[in-house]
Amino acid sequence: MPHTLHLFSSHLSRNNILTLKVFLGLTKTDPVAIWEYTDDREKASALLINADEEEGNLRLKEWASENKRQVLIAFSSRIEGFPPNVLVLPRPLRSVELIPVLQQASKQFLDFFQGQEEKGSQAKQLGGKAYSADVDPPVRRILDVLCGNQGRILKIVDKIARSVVFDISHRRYYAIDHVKMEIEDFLISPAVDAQIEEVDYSQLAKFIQNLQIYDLDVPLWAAVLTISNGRLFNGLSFTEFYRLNRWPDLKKLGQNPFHLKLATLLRRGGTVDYFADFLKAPVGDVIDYINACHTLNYLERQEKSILPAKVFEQKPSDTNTTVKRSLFSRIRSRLGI
Amino acid sequence: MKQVKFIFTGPPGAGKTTAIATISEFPPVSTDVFSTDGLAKVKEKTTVAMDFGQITLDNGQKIGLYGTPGQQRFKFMWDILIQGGLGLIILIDNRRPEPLKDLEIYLDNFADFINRTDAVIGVTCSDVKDTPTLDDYQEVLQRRGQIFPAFNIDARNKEDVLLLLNALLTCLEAS
Repeated sequence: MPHTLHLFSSHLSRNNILTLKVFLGLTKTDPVAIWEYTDDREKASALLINADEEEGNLRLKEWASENKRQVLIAFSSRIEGFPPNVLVLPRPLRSVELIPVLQQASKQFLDFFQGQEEKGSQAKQLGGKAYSADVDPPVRRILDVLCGNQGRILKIVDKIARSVVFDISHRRYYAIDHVKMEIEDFLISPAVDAQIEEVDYSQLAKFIQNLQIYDLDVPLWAAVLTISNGRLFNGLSFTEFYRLNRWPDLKKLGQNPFHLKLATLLRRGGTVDYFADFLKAPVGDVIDYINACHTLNYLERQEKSILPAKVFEQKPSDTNTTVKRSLFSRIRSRLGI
Repeated sequence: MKQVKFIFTGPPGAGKTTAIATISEFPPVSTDVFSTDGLAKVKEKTTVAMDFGQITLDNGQKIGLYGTPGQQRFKFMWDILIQGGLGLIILIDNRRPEPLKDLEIYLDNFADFINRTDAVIGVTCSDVKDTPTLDDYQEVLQRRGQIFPAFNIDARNKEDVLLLLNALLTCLEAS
């Protein structure tokens, strides 16, 4: 089953964009990736930039310095003088040159996510579930410690002496009032600066004297969404098939319409790119949600390669579906939801 | 022509009539009678045929809000009421002796309808009795291989009832 990837262009002429859209149709038979055009830069897997225009060239350099996920393709009559890892598509725009460049871009993009997985498994072997970063070294945070110690009770004191007792299997924590206000900050702070002590269940009562009990799910969910930044956590893969094992309590976790839609799609399962494509949403937003569901144990995972192709088939929309959608839309409008 | 409708079901006292009243554009037409069984201790009146509320869309189309009678002995009414139903809202009263079993009863009785449409679950009175928790409800669903949106709700709160309908519509839109 090929992946669906998206191409965004910058500083290309209208004619070149029209030609490009036609040529992208030629990738429909590609076994690895089908490319589609998008106007949403965030959603794109690759960015094609006219580097022969001064402003385009500047934009290319800027994106090359900040971009860690998307493949950059310079559209130029030059073949040299570009930042490393930038692919070059020579002028004029011809399918015979575009298709090999897109194939290279597919490989680079998919390899990037594969590389994230490998980094993840290495980090796991070292005993911690560190989060991936493509250039920065992974930071092991307090929430990583909690995820790696399911079923235990931990007392953690951070570098500014905030003390919290986490009962991870019961998804709750004990703290004094003002620490509760800062709990998300506490969860995403580096674990290296913290003192961590395992608490025996029989001694829990002693440790939590004068402390209040709070629900851990809400701050954990919020903390993950804060740090996720559109990159899959280590151990998760772009090519995996994700499905909910139970419905997240979205009333408690924050009523976000996008999360509600994603939860609905995750009920029957799919891959990251399938969800993004179905909802016409940025891949990064889908990844953030997948990371949060994974951290709170709402997900089942399966390698896509072992799944039947029909799982990914979308039903064509018929008249009945269109009528129903129109009805649902009117009901929403009437109820204000 | 069958009327397009949402179906509210659940055990007696779960808040079906109240939930319908919360969003209906007129007070629900109820066919309540005085309770004569054990329910009388909890609830003075109970619904024996159905509750009926309604919302009117901008094109004039009426959407029915139907509440089924709670007691299982009125099951024959359930099959009639679901005709033309868009989806099912199951309300469970957390104060009852076996609310998890209640959920299973309604999932089983409406299984065919749910398979054709979809369902959401609203747990009421969890502020009065906090167990079972939503996780316990989800475990029941997990064991049955089902995943449905479930929320703690107050049937008197319009936002909560709209949350259920929003989740149900989102599920229907994705199917």
